[in-house]
Amino acid sequence: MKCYIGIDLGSTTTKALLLDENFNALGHGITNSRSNYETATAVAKQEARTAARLTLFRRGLSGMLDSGGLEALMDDLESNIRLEQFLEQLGDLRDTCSSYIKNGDGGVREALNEVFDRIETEAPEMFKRGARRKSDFFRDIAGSRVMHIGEEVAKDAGIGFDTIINLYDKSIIDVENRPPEGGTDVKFARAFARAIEGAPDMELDETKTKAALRQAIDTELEEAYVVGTGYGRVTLPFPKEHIRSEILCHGLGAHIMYPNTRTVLDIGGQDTKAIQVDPQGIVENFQMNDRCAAGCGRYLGYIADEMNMGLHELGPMAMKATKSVRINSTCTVFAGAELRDRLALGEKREDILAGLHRAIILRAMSIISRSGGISDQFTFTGGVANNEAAVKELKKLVVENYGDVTVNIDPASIYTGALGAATFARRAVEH
Amino acid sequence: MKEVSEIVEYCQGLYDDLEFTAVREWKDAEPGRRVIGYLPVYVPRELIHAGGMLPLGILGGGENLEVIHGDAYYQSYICRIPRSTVELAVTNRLDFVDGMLFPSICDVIRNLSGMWKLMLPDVYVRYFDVPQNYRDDIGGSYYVEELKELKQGLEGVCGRKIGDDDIRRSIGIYNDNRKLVNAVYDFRAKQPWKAPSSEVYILMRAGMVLPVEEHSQLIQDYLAAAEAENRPMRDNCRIVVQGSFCEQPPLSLIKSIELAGCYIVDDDYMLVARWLLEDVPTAGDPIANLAESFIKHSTETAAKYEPDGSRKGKHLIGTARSRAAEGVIFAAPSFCDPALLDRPMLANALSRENIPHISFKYAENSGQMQPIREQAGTFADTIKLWSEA
Ligand code: SF4
Repeated sequence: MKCYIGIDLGSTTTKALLLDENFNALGHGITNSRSNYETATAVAKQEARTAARLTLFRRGLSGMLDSGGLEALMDDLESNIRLEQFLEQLGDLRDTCSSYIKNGDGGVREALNEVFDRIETEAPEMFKRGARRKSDFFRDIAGSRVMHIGEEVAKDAGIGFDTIINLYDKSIIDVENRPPEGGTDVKFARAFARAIEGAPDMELDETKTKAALRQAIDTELEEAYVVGTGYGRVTLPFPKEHIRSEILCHGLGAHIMYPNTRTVLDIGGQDTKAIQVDPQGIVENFQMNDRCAAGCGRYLGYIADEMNMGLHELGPMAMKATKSVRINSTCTVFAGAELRDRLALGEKREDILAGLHRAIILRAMSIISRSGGISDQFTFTGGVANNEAAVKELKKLVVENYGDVTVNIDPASIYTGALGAATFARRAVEH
Repeated sequence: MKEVSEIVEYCQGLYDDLEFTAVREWKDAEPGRRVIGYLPVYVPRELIHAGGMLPLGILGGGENLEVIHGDAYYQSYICRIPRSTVELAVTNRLDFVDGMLFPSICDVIRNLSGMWKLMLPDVYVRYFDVPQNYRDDIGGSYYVEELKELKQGLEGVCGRKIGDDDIRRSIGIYNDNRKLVNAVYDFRAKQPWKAPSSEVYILMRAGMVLPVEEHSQLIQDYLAAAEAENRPMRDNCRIVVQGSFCEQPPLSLIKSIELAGCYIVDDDYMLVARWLLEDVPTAGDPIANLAESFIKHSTETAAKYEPDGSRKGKHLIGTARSRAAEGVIFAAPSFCDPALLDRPMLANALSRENIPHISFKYAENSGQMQPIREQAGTFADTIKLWSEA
């Protein structure tokens, strides 16, 4: 089947989205951008293809299971595929690490194997349905486990923890820059077996299910056209005519998600964009942050690092605030200093965080005003749109300034740019 | 007698109030009352007062105003005061203001006057174009005409003729106010521990929104109360703040300078109250008198052209000497052309006189005081070390 692919190469993450001929999203994938756009593109695309096969499988199963059972099976299957991929990369990491061990360093080799054995043993638990992971990126999961387990093992084995860290640091870059092997077939089959195993009471017609799976795997996903966009788009591994500007893609993507959208706000890692689109989703006017990346997503990243918290924990903590400390600067570089200043003055963490979120949104409001304000439906996209505290502030300010307009936020809004790009790809073939 | 804390609290309330409640109440108290807003750095408030109207000094939105629409009116590489002033207007916080004067201080303010005309066509708007030539026969006669035109415009707002006697009376009242303002500055310079700059600052800010008579009374109350209060003297150095004549620093910045070990013994925060250096004569042609005072006896500032390079900085040096200041802190708004272009010339003049100086920039909503404390503190320490050496 013909597929149209959009790739959005962001400063922090790279997203891919697969569209079928009827403009239905088949699947999307995301990975950290690293500093290797080519690999990031390949990985995101492969994730999207895997997701697309899951969608096909789900379609094939329709009618065979009640919706609860179907969801459960799909969830299990997805988790198990992630587990398979994780184990594959973990194996690669193990091999790469040991290739860096000097001959004769038997103790280190033994310790390293111990570390990887333990991670491998605990992996199924990490990928169980409903298990919470701080991140789905291999680097993040593997990194934190190696740190944790490595320290214990090194201590017991009487070798320096540094040795293990050094090996990891050297190897992770190699591993990240090697896109995982294809082998969809095997991975799917194994994941499927595990998923079924985990749900023995599921009433499934095995022959039919297997046939559906076979079909999902065997369907050829032909890349009819690829369009790339995003921060790194100049270095996208595509010819020029396959590249569209990020703003165009965002505008169109938001339009596809919510056809009545007239204004789009996207807050990404390094920029904030306010886009006005016409009824066809074509950009009429836009504004971006100028001067610097103050008040963009990366700012929250710094704050999270500074507070030793996960990025996704900031919003919930800010929601606990009883007041909002006024923060006037959204300078990323000074963020840490400002934070410590406020803490030293005795302000509570949650109140400071509420103030930080408000500061970001105020900057965005100002960019929206510059682009022409909000007249009709308003769509908020980008990583920051997943942050509940930011969303709360934004909604409040939108109502205060523009009245009761509809505010759209899609949980998958991070794929807006990729969706726009894929739509451009589909249209390019059409015309 | 009123306590210092009582007066300070009252002034702080006025300072914090972005709705200008006190001015609204003044206006509502009697039908037909009019309010004329003005921006830095100087307008002849006497003329507004003579028409029975209240001059309202607008110094931007300060650190607590969130600017959402104001940014859309300007490019990013200019100061913040015009953005926050636009924000005040588009959020209807200035909807009671009947007229606005925009003094010729820089292009930003000039453009703001044009925007005001477009935004609020029903409001009397005047770009108050003061001379940059100080010869009686050129700048002097030009300025007389400018004042006459302004008077006419103001008459249109208050709906009656503004008579010479009215103006003479107002001149007298503002002469008194100016003397009192100067008395506060003298008092602070003599006993800075008794009149912290953050207090003096909001006391002067009160003069931007209160009727002048009330402000004069407030100053007298403050002087009496501050004199009576015993406060510990600290081992601070004495400095003059220069360059803050338009967009105002946040109050926390003024506090930070003092906390870091510097007593501010003079400043150029609200020059309108101290623009004229001498009393304006109350006898004779009042317009001519106002013009003469402007041409011959006005202070020196970046917004005023000094053709004789060798005279540049004379006033600042004079202030530093007469106030026994040990140094000068140039604190200018970011992107403020007048203040920042003036600074090197003034700094050279100070260096020639061996008066130490440092400089930093701020915005009215600067939130990080750590760097300010660091710089002012270092300055205070080095001044001490130099004087010991
Ligand atoms: S702060 Fe400076 S540049 Fe800005 S309006 Fe005032 S005088 Fe002009």
